[in-house]
Amino acid sequence: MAAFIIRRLFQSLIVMFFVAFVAFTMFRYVGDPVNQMVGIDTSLVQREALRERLGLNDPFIMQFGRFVLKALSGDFGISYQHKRPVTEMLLERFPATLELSLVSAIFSLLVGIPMGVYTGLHRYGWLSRFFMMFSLIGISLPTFLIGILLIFLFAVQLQWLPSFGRGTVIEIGGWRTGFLTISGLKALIMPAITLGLFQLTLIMRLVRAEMLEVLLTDYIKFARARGLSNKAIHFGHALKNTMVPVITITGLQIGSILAFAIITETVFQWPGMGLMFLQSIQNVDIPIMAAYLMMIAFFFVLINLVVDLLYYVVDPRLRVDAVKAHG
Amino acid sequence: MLKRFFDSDLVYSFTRSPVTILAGLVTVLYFLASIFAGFVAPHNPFDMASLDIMDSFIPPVWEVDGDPRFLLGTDDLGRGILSTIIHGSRISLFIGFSSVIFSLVLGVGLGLVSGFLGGKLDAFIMRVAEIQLSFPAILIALLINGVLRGILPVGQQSNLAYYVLILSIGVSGWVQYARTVRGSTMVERNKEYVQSARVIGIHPLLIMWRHILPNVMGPILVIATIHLAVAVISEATLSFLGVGVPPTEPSLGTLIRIGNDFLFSGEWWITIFPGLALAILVLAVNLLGDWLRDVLNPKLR
Repeated sequence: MAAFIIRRLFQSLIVMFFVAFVAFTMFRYVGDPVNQMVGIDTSLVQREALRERLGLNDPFIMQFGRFVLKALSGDFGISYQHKRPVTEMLLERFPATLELSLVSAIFSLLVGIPMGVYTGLHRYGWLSRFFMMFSLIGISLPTFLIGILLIFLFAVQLQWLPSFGRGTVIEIGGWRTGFLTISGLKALIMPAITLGLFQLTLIMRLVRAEMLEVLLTDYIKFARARGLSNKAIHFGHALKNTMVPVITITGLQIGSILAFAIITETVFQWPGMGLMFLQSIQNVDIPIMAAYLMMIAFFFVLINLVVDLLYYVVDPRLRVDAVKAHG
Repeated sequence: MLKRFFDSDLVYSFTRSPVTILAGLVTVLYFLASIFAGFVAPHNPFDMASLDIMDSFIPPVWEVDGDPRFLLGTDDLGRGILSTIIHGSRISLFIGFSSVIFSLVLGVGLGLVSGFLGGKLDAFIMRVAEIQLSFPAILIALLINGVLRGILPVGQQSNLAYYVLILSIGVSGWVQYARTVRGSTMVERNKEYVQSARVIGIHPLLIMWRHILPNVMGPILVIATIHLAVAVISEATLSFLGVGVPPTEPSLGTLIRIGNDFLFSGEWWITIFPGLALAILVLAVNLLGDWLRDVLNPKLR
């Protein structure tokens, strides 16, 4: 167990190191940092002095080391465009993105799993066919198009829901939440559905495939022979065993939800980190890009690690294999 | 030759599935319309001289104020939506195709080298692939896009927009090709025909190109088809986000972006029709890809 964890931690560190390297190269060589900081009337001598003071003439390794050390203490420099510390800006926008991602993940699980179970049990029912068709369309529609269609239907035509922003937010200890006001909750509905729809179809298809597979196994036949009720077999035995891959995929998808939030946030002008990242790409604001990249990478690595460890906890076979491999 | 082709499993299963036939027809239609866009489209939306600002914001022909010259209405500049969709599909498909070819060449090349030579290089390439795979492709494409536009001079950005897009989408998609090819190359490497080729002293590069490549290309076709749908979506997404094709010669994504500004003032057709065109194209290609996968390689399911 300990060896497994240490090996996984080591791998995660390598990934983070690699990403930091990419982020730093971007930071250092795309555009000239000095040009971004000074005006046109700064003389060459002053520029050179600034260059020296910032340490831009130091060897690559030293600069990279400094970048990593600073990143570890949460310092990613100052945005070229907004002239404010990047970390501060990211933190300010973090709650919006987190709330959106969480709600959409919960939405996709709560709707996706029952749909998957249903289509798995009633394979040839007309409702199942409808769900499968729906899931294919869900995969084929780009995220931003789903958002636009929702806005067109519910904000422009029916005028039930707001089309942009977070509604009224309440600040609790520096955390701006939209959960506590009606307008905040209303504003959350469409972005959350838009962001969760792709995950929903994915989870539904996964649960369906797993259910189909599990229902053919011997222990399900045995459970039937024992005369257990359908309900006990389907939910007590079958569904429980489909949960391992579902946990993995959901866990891994949390990362891509964070990434796809960029698109959803743009469509709905949701004031989160994704929108900020997109604006930084449009304006080639490298410090924000680098910081966002590092942060997303950190989330991915963390989630991957947690999922792997959970796997280890949930599935006893992995532990046995590990013992065999070492013993 | 032709008779053998029509006798094959591929054709048989194609004629057996009405959905696939429909998807195939739709895809062919898109391709033909894209290739012959200049003849098919009722107007040339890029010819600024032929546009009349008086024609702007005309609704589709079945609405009250519709104009029979513009079947699906016009946008803010008086461009016919149908014409812009046809020309837009052409640009979307061109960029999608080029990106797929870019990914394919890069991925197959790296996969072959990685699987054939093995060792440190293999470990390095596969580690990079793993890291890239743990991020969504669209994020990678966005990042590369941002970096490329940071390197390019500002004046050149809209001229080089196509290449920036192809490069960013292409680089974001090579991993799947590389992993698949590497796997099959490692199997082929130890087969007798490769060993005999080595014994008679053929250069390793030539062995890879002439002998291994034809034997590992099977699954690549399936991946490429599904990848085309993904690439078209990626292009549309990047253009929609404003870092893709400029509005003067819009792709489907750019059209949706332009129309999105007018959604609230009631001119829904400017964004909804290009959106539908994009969705239908992607759906058709996806259906074809699913079918190809099931026929050619049931194990991939």
